[in-house]
Amino acid sequence: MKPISKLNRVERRRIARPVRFALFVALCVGLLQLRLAAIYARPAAVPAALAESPSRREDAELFNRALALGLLRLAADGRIVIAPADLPLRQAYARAYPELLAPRAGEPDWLDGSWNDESRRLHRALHFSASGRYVRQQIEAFNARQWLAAVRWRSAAGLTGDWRADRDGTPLLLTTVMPPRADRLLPEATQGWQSWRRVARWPALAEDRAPVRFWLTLARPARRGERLEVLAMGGAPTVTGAVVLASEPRCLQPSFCAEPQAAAHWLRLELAAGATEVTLSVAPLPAAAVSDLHRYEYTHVQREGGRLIWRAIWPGAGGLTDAPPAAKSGE
Amino acid sequence: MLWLLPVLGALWTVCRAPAWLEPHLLRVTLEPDRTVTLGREALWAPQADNEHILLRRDMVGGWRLANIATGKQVLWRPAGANDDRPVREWPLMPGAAFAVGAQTFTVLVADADRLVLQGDGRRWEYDGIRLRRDGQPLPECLPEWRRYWRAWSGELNWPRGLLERPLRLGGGVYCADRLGLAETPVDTAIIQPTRAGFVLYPGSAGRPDGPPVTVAAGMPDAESLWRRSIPLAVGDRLIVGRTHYRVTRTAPVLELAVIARAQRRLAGSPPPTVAPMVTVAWRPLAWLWPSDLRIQDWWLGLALSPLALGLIGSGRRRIGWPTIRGWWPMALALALTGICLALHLNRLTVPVLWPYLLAWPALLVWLGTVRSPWSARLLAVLTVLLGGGLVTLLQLGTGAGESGWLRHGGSGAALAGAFGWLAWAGWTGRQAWPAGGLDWRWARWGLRLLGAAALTLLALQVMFGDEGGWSGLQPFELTKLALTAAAAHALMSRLRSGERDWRSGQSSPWPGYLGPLALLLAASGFALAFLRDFSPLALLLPWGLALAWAYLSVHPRPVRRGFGRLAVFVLVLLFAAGLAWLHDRPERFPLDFQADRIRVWAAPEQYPHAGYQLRRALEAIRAGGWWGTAWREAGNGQVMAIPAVENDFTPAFFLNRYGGLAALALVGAQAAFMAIMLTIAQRALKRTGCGDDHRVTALGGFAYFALYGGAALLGAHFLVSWGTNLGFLPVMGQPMSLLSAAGSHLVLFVLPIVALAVAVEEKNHDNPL
Repeated sequence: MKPISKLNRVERRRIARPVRFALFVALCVGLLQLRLAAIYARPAAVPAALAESPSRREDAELFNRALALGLLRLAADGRIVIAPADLPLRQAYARAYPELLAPRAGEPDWLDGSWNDESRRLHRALHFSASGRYVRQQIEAFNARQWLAAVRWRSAAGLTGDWRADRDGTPLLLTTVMPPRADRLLPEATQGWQSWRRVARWPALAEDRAPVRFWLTLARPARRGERLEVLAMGGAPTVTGAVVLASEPRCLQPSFCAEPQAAAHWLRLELAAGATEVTLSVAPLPAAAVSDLHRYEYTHVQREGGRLIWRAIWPGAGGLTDAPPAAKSGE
Repeated sequence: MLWLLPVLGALWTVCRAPAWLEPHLLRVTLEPDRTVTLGREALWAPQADNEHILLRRDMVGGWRLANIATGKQVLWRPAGANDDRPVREWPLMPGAAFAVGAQTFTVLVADADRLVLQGDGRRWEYDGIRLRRDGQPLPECLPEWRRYWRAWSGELNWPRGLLERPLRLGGGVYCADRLGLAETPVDTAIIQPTRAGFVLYPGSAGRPDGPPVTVAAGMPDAESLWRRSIPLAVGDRLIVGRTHYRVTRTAPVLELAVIARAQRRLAGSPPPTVAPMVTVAWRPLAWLWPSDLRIQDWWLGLALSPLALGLIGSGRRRIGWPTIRGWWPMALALALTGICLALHLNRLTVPVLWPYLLAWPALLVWLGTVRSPWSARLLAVLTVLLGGGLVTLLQLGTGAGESGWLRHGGSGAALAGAFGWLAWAGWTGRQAWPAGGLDWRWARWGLRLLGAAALTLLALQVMFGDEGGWSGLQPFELTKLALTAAAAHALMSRLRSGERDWRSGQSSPWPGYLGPLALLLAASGFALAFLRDFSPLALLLPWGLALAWAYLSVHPRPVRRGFGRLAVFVLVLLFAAGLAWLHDRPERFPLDFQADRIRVWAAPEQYPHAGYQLRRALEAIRAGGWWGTAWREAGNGQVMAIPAVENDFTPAFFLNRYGGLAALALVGAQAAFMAIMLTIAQRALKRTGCGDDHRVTALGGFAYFALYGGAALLGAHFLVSWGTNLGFLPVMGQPMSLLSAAGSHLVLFVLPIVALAVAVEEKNHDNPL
C-alpha cells in the first residue's frame, strides 16, 4: 500500500507543534496590545475635522435635506410639521388605489411634490433611525417654544392642589421645566411659590385662537376668605371660581411695564367658602413676544428671517449636549 | 487547579459588591376619595416616567389605578389570568360607540371572531386578518412576501392565532389592517383580536394630548381611553416601566410586593422620603436565600427525574446492567438538568448565586471524568473562558443600580449547567446507547435530524419572529452547527472517495455532496433577505476559507495541496486589503442595506447618533485603562449606559472593569482554545488511513473537518466581536462566545462543538494508535 505522504511529516509536526501554538497565541495577544495602546493614547476631545464642517454631521444633513425635499414644512402658526409615518404607503396607494386614500381634512397635502428614491430613503431615516429620532425631538422642542402659557401659584394658608390644562377639549401636557429667565417676572423672592406648570406640547388645532384653560383642583375645600396668588404667563387671564382682588402686569424687562407688553399677570384671588376649583383662561403668547426668554438655551433648530436652519451646539454654551434620545431598549 | 480560579473571582466579586438595598414592599396609605400620583422615584422603577400612575381610593376603600404616562404603558395581570394586558383597554360590546379623532364608530356586531363597525357612513368588517369596507375586502398594505403566505394559509384554514393581527386606526390609507382617519396619525389606537373578543387599546403613536380617543361616546360615562382605570385586587401583578409588582394587600393600606427589576440604593445613604404616603421596606441583596418562596416551574426539575428513571428502567431489561449503581448518577444528572432549566425560566427572581452554584460543579465533574490530556487541556481552557465570562456577567449584575441585570449571568450559568449535566448524563449512560458508542449509521441519521431541526427553526423565525430571534431562541446558531456538521460530512465523504479514486486512477464529480450546499444557500439567503444583515456572511467567509485550507492540507495530490494552500493564503490577504480599501471609500459598498454601518465605521465623527454605541464603548475602554476600574470603584458606573452591554458590547464592559491586561489574558486564552481544538482535530485525522476500518476513518475525517470548522467559526466570532468593540470592524451585532450573555449561541453552538471534541478525543484515547 502506498504510504500517504503526510505520515512522513508526523515527526516534524510533533516538534513544531508547541512552537506554532505559542506563535499563534503570541500573535493574537500582540495584535490586541497594539490596538489597545492606540486607543488609550488617543485624546477624548472632538477631532478637528468636526469643528470645521458641522453641517456634515448626520443630523444636520438629514434636517437640511428633509427640509429641501418637503418632508418638513413650516406651518402658518410658526411650527414645523413632519411628514406622516405612513407617507410611502400613501404615495404607493395614490398611484395604485387612489379610491382607498382617507380624506384629508385640515392637514397639509403631503402627496404633492416629488417622490423618488432619495425621498424614500430620507423618510425612512427620519422615522426609523437614531439620528431621525433626534431630529424629531429637536423639532418638537422648537415647536414647544412657538407658543407659551404657564402658571404658578402661592398660598399663604398652606393650600395644596393640582393644576390641569386643556384647550378646546383636548388635554394638554404640563411640565415644570421653565427657563431660569422667567424668574425675572417675580422681582421679589420666589420663596413659597410652587413650581411652574407650563404647557409642554402644543397639538395642532384647527382653531388657533382658542384660549388655554388652566384649572386648579384643591386638596380640601377652601374656607371663607382664604387667599392665593397666581402668576399666569399668557394674555390677560379670565378667572372663574374666585374673586380677583388685585391684578398687575409683569414684563421680562426690568423697566416700566405696560399692559400691551406684559408677558405675565400677577393676580391675588380670594376664594369663597367650600370652593374646590379655580379656573383661568389665558391666550397663549407667540414666540416673538417672549423671544428674550430662551436667550441662553439653544436648540439646534432655529429660525432666522423666514428660514429654518440647523445650528451646531457646542458643549459649554449652555445648550444641549448631543446625547441621543433614549432609544427603546429591547428586552 | 484552574477550576478554582473563577470560583475565587466570583467570591471576590461578591465580596466587593456594593452593599445594595432593594425595595421589598411598598405601602401606600390614602384617605378615601383621595388620589396620589406616583412615578419613578416613589415606585423605585428606573424606567418609569416621573408621573406614571394615578392611584385613587374610592369611598368604600377599594383602589383604582390609571396610567398617566404619555408614551409608556402599565401592564396588568389579574389574579388567575395567564397574560399581561395594558391598563388602558376597552372591550368592544355590541351597541357601544367610540370616537377616534373626529370620527365616531358604532359597534354593530362583536363576536369572538368577527367585528362589524359603522362609521363614516360605511360598514367595516374585521375578522382578525382582513378588513372589509362595505363587503369589499381591502388589499394588503405593504407588498411584502408575507401576504402570499397569509393568503395561502388563510385558504387552508390554519389556526387563527398564527395569522391574527391588530387593526390599526389612523393614517391616510384604507388597507387590510389599517383604517385611515383624517388628521390622525397611524397607530393612534388599535383594535386587537383576543380570545374573548375585540379590545380597543392605545397605539404606539397615540398620545393623551393627540387626537382624542373617547370610549362609550355619547353615553354619560364617556371618558378618554387614556384615563381608563382598573380595580386592584390581591394577587394582581403589575408591570410599571419594566418593574414587576404584586398586590399583596388592599385594606387597610395598599401593599405592593416588588418582584423584579427595581432600583437599588446603597446601604450607607440616608433613606429618601419622596412621597409622604408611600413607605418602603428594604432588604439586602438575596445572595443565597430567596426572599419570596413562591417560585414557578419547579415541576420541571422534579418531572425529569421520574422520566429518566422510567427510561433507564426500561433499558435495563434489554441490556441487563451488571450493577445497580450505574443508573443513579444519570438520574441525578438529569434532575440537575431540570433544575437548571427551571432556574433559567425563573431568572428574574431566583437568588443570585444559585445558578452559578449548580453550574460550576458540572465542570468539575467533567474535568474529573476525562482521561486524555488534550481533552483535559481543552476543558481547562474552557473553564478559564466560561468562568471569566460568568464572573463578568456576575459583576454586571451586582454592580448595577437596577436589580434586573442579574438575569443575564444567571441565565447563562443555568443554561451552561443544564448542558453540562445533560452531557454528563449521556456520557455515563453511554453503555445504554444502541450498538454501543458512536456508530456511524446513527450518526448520519443524527446529522439529518440536526439539519431538519435547523431548517425548521429558521422557517419558524422567518414566519413568526424577527431578526432578534423567535420566542427567545436564535435559530441561526443551530443553523451554524448544522452547517458545520453537514460540510464536515460532505468533505469527509469527498476525501475518502477521492483517496480511493486517486489510488485507482479515476475521478468522481462533485455533485452528490449537495446537502451542505443547499443548507448554505438557505442560510445565506435567509440572512440577506430576511434579517437584512450581512454579519452572518462575515462569519461564514472565514469558515469557508478555513475549511478549504483544512481540505487542501490533506489532499492526496501534493501539487494541489501546495498551490491550494497558497491560493487560500492569498485570498485572505486580498480580503484584508479589501477591508482596508473599503474603510477609505465607504461609498463604494456594493450592498444596498446596512451601508450606513459601513459609513459610520469609516467616519464615526460624522455620525454621533448612529455611532453612539461605539463612542460610548471607546470612552468606557479608555476610562478603564490597563488596570481597569474594578479595583477603585465597586459600582459599574457609566459603562452601563452603553446599549446592548450584555451581549454585543460585553468586551467593552470587560475592558472597562478589568483593564487591558486582563483583556490580553482573555485573548490569549481564546487563542489557546482554538489552537487546542485544531490540535484535537489533527489528532483525530491521524487515525485516517490506518487500515480499512470503515467506521474509524469516517469518524476521524468527520471530526477533523467539524472541529476545524467549529474552531474557525469561533475564531470568526472572536474577531468580529473584538473588531466591533475596538472599532476596527463595523458594528455587526455578534456576541463574543463564552463572554457575552448569549444563551442560544452557548448552548446551540459552542458547547456542542466542545462536546464533540471531548468525545472524539476520549475515543482516541481509548483506542490508541
